[in-house]
Amino acid sequence: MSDFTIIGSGAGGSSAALELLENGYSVEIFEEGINYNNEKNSVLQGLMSLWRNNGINLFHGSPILNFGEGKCVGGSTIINGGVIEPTNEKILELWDNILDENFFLNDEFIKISNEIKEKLVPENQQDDDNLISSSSEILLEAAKKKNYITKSTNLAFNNLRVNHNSPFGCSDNSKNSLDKNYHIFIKNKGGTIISNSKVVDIIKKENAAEKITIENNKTKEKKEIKIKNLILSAGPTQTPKLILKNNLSNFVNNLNFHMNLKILCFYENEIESYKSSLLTHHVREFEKNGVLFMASNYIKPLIASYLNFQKSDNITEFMEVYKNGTIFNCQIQPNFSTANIKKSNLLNKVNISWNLDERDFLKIKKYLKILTELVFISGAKKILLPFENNSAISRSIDDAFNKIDTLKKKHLEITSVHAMSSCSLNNGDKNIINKFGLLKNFKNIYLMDSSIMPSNTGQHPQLTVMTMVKKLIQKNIENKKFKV
Amino acid sequence: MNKFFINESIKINCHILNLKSRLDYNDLIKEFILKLELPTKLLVFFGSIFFILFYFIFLFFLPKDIQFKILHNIPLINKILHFYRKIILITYYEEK
Repeated sequence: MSDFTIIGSGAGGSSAALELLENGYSVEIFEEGINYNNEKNSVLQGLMSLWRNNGINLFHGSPILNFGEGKCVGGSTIINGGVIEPTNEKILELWDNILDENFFLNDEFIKISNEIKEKLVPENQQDDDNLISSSSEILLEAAKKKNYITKSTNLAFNNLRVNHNSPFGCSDNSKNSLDKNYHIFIKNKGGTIISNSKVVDIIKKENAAEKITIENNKTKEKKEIKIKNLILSAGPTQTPKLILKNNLSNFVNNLNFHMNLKILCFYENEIESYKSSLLTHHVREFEKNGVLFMASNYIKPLIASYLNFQKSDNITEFMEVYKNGTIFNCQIQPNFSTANIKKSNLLNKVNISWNLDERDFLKIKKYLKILTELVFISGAKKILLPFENNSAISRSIDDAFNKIDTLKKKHLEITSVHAMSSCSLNNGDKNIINKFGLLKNFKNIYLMDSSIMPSNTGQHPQLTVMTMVKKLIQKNIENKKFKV
Repeated sequence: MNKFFINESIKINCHILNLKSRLDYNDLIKEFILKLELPTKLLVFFGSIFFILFYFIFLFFLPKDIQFKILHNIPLINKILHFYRKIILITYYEEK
């Protein structure tokens, strides 16, 4: 029996495991997904093997929201854009206020964050403004004309000039996902990562978790495993689902997330975004309002799928000039809309629902217009707005603005990324964990992933999740909280 | 039985999209649907049955453009229409 049993091998679980092993504890990780072996996948094969429910993970409501989440060894670090950026200091300060403790905004947190960045981002690429993908270059030139603030992005990639396929697994070793580093360190220190193992039951005795039931995803064989301490690192939707399904708490907090809205743009001449569209730079002019603009993955089959609401002749027309295109992404943090996670007692099923608040809808329209303006400044000849109707194509800025103004909520095509805070660390009455990440009313169940962030990070959270979890483990050790 | 309804839905969607339905990528699409989690899979199965019935009763004889316009504007039917269109387009342009 290991000292710690961890559920989930993503950013939180891997970071917790390595820190525990370095402090002399034994660790085993159970991961529901497969072990990703750098195989070259088609888009559909990638979705089937690396994503939860083949990439169809819906928050019900108006409009329906699809939340993309990794389900493989390495979790979402395998399928994300590899952005390794710290959270804004103002947000860290806010979190310290929420927690009533100097945990986030201090030298130690920044030091840990820098150490993790050095492990994941190649030294010669850190904060280098000259490394730029062709799609980011187009966006940056337009942003310069408007005097918008832009900044280079630290990426967990070894080679920024590759024809990357990161959402479906990088087969060329170009990406530093956690399977390429943390998992190797974990195994070298005696930790084990067991893939294809879904936790179906957490068996409790009094105020402690005693055993977990694991089901093998291939053979469907079930076995019970005794545990000393349990760490839930299954991610922002799966951790609260495990808690509710196993009656570890009657409620969880609302889920915060970012919304992604993509504008597909076509230019007069061929550009090379199909060769590399990594988001090497961000337009950060509106960062304080929770809005970032960036390039997005430009992969031929994905482009075709964005055109699925158009008539077949329009699809053909756009795909014929595929090499002239690129995609820009407007990542927006909603101010008022969150997702509600609730269990239906009838079927013991946990549902996630949301509704787009009118004020957030106006915010979306405002920033879609700003990105549209940038896109036309950059010389785009025609664009496809993120609408689920056939009026999405625009060939002029006036036409696009008009379409954005008259847009109905239900026709907006949004994907959700970077969900967090569903079981947030806070100091109020509505917290389900204490300041050490320990689940209330239990003495050996900890939560260590993005679900415990006090609020929305405003941007890509991988680095902050890993830093927070490492520091939380250290805090538990320093205060002699772990009992093994 | 389930595979039959998925197969027919793929054929109808390929027809409306002006794409040739091909066995090899039809198999990948079928595998994709069969690998979905149970609640989503059930939605797709029932949606497919409803979609096929609706298509053959009301739309079979109409031009493709009008078929698409009608299907696109009917709530719920448009969800299953665009679900199929999306995965067909991904598969088709992966091959191309």
